[in-house]
This record gives sequence, structure tokens and C-alpha cells, in this order.
Amino acid sequence: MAEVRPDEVTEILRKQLSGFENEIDIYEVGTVLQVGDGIARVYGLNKAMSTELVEFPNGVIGMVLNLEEDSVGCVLFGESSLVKEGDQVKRTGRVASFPVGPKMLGRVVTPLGEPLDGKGPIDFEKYMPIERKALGVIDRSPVKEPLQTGITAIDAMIPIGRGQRELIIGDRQTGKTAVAIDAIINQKYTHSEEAKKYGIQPVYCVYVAVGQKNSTIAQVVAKLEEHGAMEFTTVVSAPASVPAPLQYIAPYAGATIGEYFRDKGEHALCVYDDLSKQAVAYRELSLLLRRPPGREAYPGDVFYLHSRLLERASKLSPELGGGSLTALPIIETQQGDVSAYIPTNVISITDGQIYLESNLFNAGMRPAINIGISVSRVGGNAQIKAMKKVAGTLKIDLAQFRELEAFAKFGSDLDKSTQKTLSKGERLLEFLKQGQYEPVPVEKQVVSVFVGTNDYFASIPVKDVKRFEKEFLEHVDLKYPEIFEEIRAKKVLSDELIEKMKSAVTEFITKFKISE
Amino acid sequence: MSDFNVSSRYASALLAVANDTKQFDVIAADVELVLKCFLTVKELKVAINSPIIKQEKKLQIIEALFKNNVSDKTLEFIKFVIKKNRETLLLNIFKRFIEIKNHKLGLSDIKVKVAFDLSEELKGKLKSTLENLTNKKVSINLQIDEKIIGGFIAEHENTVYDASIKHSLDLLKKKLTQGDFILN
Repeated sequence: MAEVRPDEVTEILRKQLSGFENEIDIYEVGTVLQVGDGIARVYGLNKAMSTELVEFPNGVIGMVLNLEEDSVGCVLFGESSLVKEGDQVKRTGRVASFPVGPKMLGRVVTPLGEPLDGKGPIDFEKYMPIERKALGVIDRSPVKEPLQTGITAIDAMIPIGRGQRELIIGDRQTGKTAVAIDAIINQKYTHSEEAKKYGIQPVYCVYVAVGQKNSTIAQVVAKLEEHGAMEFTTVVSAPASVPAPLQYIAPYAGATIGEYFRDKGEHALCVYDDLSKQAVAYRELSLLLRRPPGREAYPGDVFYLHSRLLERASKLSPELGGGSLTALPIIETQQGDVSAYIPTNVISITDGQIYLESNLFNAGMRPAINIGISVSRVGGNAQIKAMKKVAGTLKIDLAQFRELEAFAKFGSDLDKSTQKTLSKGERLLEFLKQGQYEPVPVEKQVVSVFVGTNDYFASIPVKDVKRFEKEFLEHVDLKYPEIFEEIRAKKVLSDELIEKMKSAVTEFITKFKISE
Repeated sequence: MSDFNVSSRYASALLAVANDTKQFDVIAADVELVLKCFLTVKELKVAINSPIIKQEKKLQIIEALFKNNVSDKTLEFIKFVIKKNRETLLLNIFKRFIEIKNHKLGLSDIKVKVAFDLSEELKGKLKSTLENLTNKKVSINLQIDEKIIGGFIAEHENTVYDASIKHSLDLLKKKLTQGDFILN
């Protein structure tokens, strides 16, 4: 805390105590009827609003959720053991809100905006309500700018646009968080001087951790810091140890900061990790508030819980500044069951999903994306032209490979064309493998996808594909840097450029040494 | 249906009866008497609420207690409530009755806490101030509480008018420590 000087104290004392006679503090109160399990029923508070914050004794804050005839139901954001029956509850007149501003970047905060990272108080700009109505049709424009995740498989086949909502879904331990973190790390480029030169606007990131272990969150923050991604990222932390109401509001708080940037005409990316845990937290507090349970004991409005959150992701019309808020919600499935209640809900809300599978993960395919069932419904319009051109056949090639994959064990008994499809597919899958925290810039992706889809890998053994790709990119970087330069600047593939790439790769193949 | 709704219905029914039979004042006085009885004699409340005591017995108790003290209509009402197995709500019904009655008449009972007893003149001043604030006929229920140091705290329905020194000091403490981020 800053030092308090005696003269300041006297000044404040004078200010507070002067005009004391005519100063009446008027506030509204209620009485706690019942408290327990993080829920309090309060008699009185006649004028309380829904989602209004109320103050309990001992500094416990609560939020009004149920408005009934003679009482209100509040959820507590603090210890319920600090609140007793008969305690006085005060209205604050303020609905639940979250501090926003550029100074929130680089910080780890609770869903109420209190800093958790020990870097002192945050000099925020203003409070914004955490629950806001999503924008209407008139205020939006179609998704048209790409949001590069740096993961080749995604950027080539399941492209994400700024303002899109793309679900990341999969079992535990399939690398869902890794995909999201890579996407955040890859936004570092958008903050560079170089990106500015090419007209790429910076993307601010928000990572909302709901119901996770504190240690996992600490690891994520450390990784972001290590890769220099923390300076444009806010982490909203609601670990498993905090009361369910805080876990419930965390994604809305995250969306609020995202919206702050969006409304300023800037771009934001919000990762909700993960919404299944938020739904569980909401189920807990709904049942405690005695709302009737429905399927899987979730309350009836669990669809609205997620739809109102994800609807806030949007691309604004040019009149409103053209900002965007991209949402990457994460859902954890149980045993690959996507037909459970919450996964189906969120799949239907989002504009596509990236489906991660544990058997692919265990087979060494990382990121473990199942390309067959992963889709992006709007991102295609946002892909840069060069990528669209080279990646066009990639998905089909892989689909054909999957169809014939079962025959792979017959080996040489197969006809020529089948063998060719199989060998191409194997090499494509190999080349789509990518390490964690190693995002690839889009121009390099274009060149390597070009090499893959045009079957230049055919003569390379599968185990050498990754090395070939790496060395080839280095080769291009050294000898033909103008290829990368042109893709970056013009974003299209001219015929000359294609020719140049072709000659570069044929030249390189002859030089490449196949490992023993 | 919630207890609140049930009590409100019975209370408004009693109020309607009082108006129809033009015994408003009598019944209102009866209600206050019964309520006082229930609140001061704990055993009576326990007996009436007890599920072990039979209904006839309860009716006899009420009859013996109130026959000579309250009007026929009030007695009839209490018996009616017991016959409908709503005797546990009797207290709430009477409380609601008084609330609804006060609301209709524009009366308000305000709890005022002060640090020391006030002079009659001050009381009059306080009353007129509160009447101006609430736009209601006010009856003051004065409580002396030395903990508030000075000034007064008036509670009207859910609103608190807090002009106590203790509250000012609390606010000052909060401001100085800046402990609560939520209050700017």
C-alpha cells in the first residue's frame, strides 16, 4: 500500500467530517433469512435488481439472482460461514460489473476484477456490466479478416475469422488448452511493427480459466509470459477452489474486457476454458436456488447461459468501428461423447468446431485434430487468398486417404492409384504434426501446404517429412526470401510466384539427404 | 403457494370483513391484542403451532382465552383459520394484516435509533422530517443505543436513513484503508 501522510489524513478527516450534520446516508437493507451452501435468502431488499451486487457483513459480496414475492435469493462470492441468519444486507445499486481498460492487459484477475498476481492495484478505466445484451443484426458485419492460430492444420483447413465463435472440443488430455494457448501466443505477431506495416491490426487476448487447478492456471500464465504473450493478455482466473457463483460469472467477465476492445474498434480473442465446468457451476447454484432441474439436472436455461455468452462474439460494422471479438470456447467431453447435453448445445451455438481425439493424440498425431468432423462455417471467407488456393485440395486429399486407410495393411497388393492416395495421405498427416508453442507464420504455412498438396513429398520417406519441411523453409528463407515477403504483403499467389516456389522445391529435393 | 401469499390472502380477507361490517377499528384493535398475546406468551404460540394438540383442543384454548376480550368476528376468523389447518400462519396473517392496514391508511411505523433520549421538541422535529421524507403519517418507535455515538438511524420499511456518527466513522475507515475495491 502507498504511504499515508498525516496531512492527507487530516484533509480526508476534515472532508468526511465537515458537513456531517446535513449528510444523511440513505441505503436499502434486507435481513438474511437463511444462509448456507453459498446461497442466502434475504427478506426485504424490495427494490433489488436482478444480478445486482449486495453487501453482506464482513465484506462478503453477493449477487441477486432470484427475485421472489417476499424475499430474494442471493449467491455469495465469499465464505458463507461469515454470514449469519438475521444479518443486515445492503444494496449497492450496481449490477455485477467488471473493471476494463488497457491496464488490465498483462494481469491475472478474479472474475470481480481483483488482481491476483501481486503486481499491485490496477489503474482501470471504468466498470462495465458483465451481462450485456449481444449486438443486433444491423450492428454486425460478416467475418472477413483471418485470425491466425499459427497451427497449420487449423489455418489451412478449419480457418478462424475475427469475430467467429469456434468451439474446441475433446476428451481430457487431448490438447484443447494447448490449441488455445498456441492461438494466443501467435497473436504476438499482430502486435509487432511489421504486422502494422502490412495492415494487420493487433489482437488482444483474454484467457478465462473456469474450474481448473490453480497450478494449471499458474503454468499457463508462466508459458504466456515465457513467450511474451502476457503483455497483451488478461487472465481471468476462477479456479476450482472458488465458490460456484464466481466460476459462473467468469466467462461473462472475460467477454466484458473483450467487448471493451471490440467497441473501441480493436480486435480481441477470448478463450473460455472450459464451459462444461461453468455449466456444472451454474447447475450447482441453480439447484441450490431451488430452480427446477431438467436434463442431466441442468436448469432449463443452460442453453441461454452459453448462447448469450457466445452471441457477444461479433464483428462490428464499419460504422461502429469494425472491431471484433472472437470466441474460442472449450468443452470437455466424456469418453468422446459429443451427444451429451452441453456439447450438443455449444456445437449448435458456435460457427464450427475443432474436434480433438484421444486416439489420435496417443498415435502421436499432435495437434490431435480430427479433420473429418472439424469444420469452420464462416472462416473460409476470412482465409487469405494464397492459403485458400493452396489448401483447397488438402481436406479432400485427407478425406480420400481416410476412406482407403483401412486397406493400408494390404500394402503392395493394391493398385497404383490407391497406393498413391495412401502414401500422399500418410505424408500429409505427418506434415500436419506440429509441436506445442511453435506457431508458424501464415506465409510459411502457405509454402509448406503448397509443397504438401502438390505431392512433392512423394519421394520423401514419412519419417523425413517434418525434417524436409523444416529444412526447405530455411532454404527458402535464405535463398528466396522474396517468396515469403510477397505472400505477406500481397496475400495472393501470382503465377510467377507459383513457378518460383516450384523451382525452389524441385531444386531442394535434389539436395535433400534422406536419413538412413 | 408460499406462506407469504397465503398470509396475504387471509389478511386481506379479514380486512374486507372489517370494512364490510364497519368494525374496522374494533377488529384492528383485536388483532393487535391477539398479536401481543402471541408474542409475549411463548407457550401460547407453541401450543397453537403444535401438531400434537388436536384441533378441538386448540379451538377450546382460543375460545377460553379470547371470548371475552375480542369481538365475535375476530374470534370467528381465528377459529376459521384453525379449522383450515393454517394455525401456524396465524402470526404471519396478523402481521400482514397490520402491514396492509398501515399501507392503506398511509401510516408508517419507523424504528429510530438514537444515542440518548431526545427532548419532546427534537422528537417533533424528527417526526416532521421523517414525514416529509416518506410522505406518510409516521409513528416513531424510539430505541436508545449508545453504540451509534451520536446522530440517528431511522428505518422505514427497507430504507435506512443513516445519520449516525458511527456510520460516518465506518465510512471514513473504509475510505482510509481502501480495503473495499467495490465501493469507489
